[in-house]
Amino acid sequence: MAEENPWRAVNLEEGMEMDRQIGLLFFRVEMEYGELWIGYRYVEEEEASTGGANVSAPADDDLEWVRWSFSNPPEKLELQPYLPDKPMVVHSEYSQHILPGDEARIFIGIPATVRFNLQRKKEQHLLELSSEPLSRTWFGDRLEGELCYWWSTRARRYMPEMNKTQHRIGCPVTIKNSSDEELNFEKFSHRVTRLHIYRYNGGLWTDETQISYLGEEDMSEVIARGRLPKELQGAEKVTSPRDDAQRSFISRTFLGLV
Amino acid sequence: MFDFNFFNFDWSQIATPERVAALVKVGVILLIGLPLLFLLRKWARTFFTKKYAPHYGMLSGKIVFYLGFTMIVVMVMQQLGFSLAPLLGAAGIVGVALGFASQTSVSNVISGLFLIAEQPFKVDDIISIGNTSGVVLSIDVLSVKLRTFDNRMVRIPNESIIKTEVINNTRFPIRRFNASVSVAYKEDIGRIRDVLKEVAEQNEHCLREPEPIILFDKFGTSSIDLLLLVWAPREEWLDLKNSILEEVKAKFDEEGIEIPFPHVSLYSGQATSPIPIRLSDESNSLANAQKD
Repeated sequence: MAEENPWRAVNLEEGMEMDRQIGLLFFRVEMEYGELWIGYRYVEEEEASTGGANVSAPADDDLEWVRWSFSNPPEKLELQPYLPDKPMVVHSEYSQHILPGDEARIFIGIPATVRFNLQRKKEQHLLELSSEPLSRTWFGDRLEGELCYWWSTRARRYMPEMNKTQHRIGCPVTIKNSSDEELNFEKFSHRVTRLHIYRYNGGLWTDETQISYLGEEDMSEVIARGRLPKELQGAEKVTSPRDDAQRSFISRTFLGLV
Repeated sequence: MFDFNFFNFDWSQIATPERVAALVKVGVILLIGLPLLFLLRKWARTFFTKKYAPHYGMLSGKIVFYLGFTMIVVMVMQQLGFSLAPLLGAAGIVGVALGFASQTSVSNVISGLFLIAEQPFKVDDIISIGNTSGVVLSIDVLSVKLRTFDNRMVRIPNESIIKTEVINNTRFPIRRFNASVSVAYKEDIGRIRDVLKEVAEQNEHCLREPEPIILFDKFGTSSIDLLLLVWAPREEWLDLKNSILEEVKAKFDEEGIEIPFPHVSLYSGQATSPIPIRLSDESNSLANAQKD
């Protein structure tokens, strides 16, 4: 049986109750006395691997609840996949080496953020929850830097059917070593807030990012042109970037903690 | 006796048209100038607070107010026919006299200027001075005002701050918490390291990098003492402190790791031999003797 689309909208009716799981995020939606309640918790990976089939629904008390009151109750709750709201420090299990003048294309799967929206006269955002719990990290030195999410990944070199899960977003990244020295890295900062999300063949993907390494002392040039990789031609756009600023910019990308 | 008839007094001698015109001008300056000054101060505070930080909002508000107030005073004095040069001269002399008379206040004013220039802390920073910790409310001409965490206001003279060690707890974006953890001598330190690392990884406030560090601190009296060094964003430091020790205790309980309490071993001279115990029937003999 084909997996149902977990991103489908939820019809809100008085007295309704609905359970759903996206990734490791389990959530319950209830409408009671004109109030919308959303309760959530993260399930263990073992529970998620069974697709939630063998897991009994958690009791209300085990969930973290948020509620909204309305003068005019909404009829539909939309669920939209978004990229996380901070840059991701992508950590690879094995360090990668790129020789001067060479480049490598890698694919990273990043957990989608679930945005709960109401479609009324204008779109209203209620809540954002990551589909998998994300830990945070500091990227920079102890005096200045930025708060990022930490994500360990295998950083695949090919574009397989890697994105069968509907809660992970596949990000193609090309890293070019434009310096005179060898680039060795275990992690890099990926500015995902500037990327679009597309749906292709049931999976979620972002547009291509090109990172040009200019040397240890320099920052890197990051280009997010908003172009889809050639393998994903014809994909349907799902969401626009959170941060629609410059498409090409200079950023600290490979600098670790000093 | 003083004889003054208000109604028969010749007001035209005092209220000359020039004087009346000057008074009207002074009134207009005050009526327009003061509200305008307060408005400008409010605007500067809001603008610089929003654009930069509350500290710069406070500073710009003060600069605008003092400059504007000086301008209004000068304009009023001019309208009233006072010449500024002798006034400034007199003010200089009075200032010197006052300066000698109120050295502490002058010292505080100058210290305040140094504080503003050096910026060891800003409005909204959390600082510790001596035994007092709190949030900086304002840096004024004479003093710095703090709000303590139990919601009291503390006024610290600028001069004292210049002379004292000040710790700014929120200057840098991330902050480390040093947790002391003691375990029994029988425990495997390698396993303890793994457990502590897991606790740090699962704590929602603890950052992955800078990486948590676990140090073997010392052989304590009754325990092996370790240090768990973990980092959090400065706003979450207190949450980290509150949560991680509880989580360490819960994890140790779950894993059956002993957190020891102080205990004392008694020896009877030879470290390896057990203490000899002699059973005595003396108390029974005494009791029997009393019965008889």
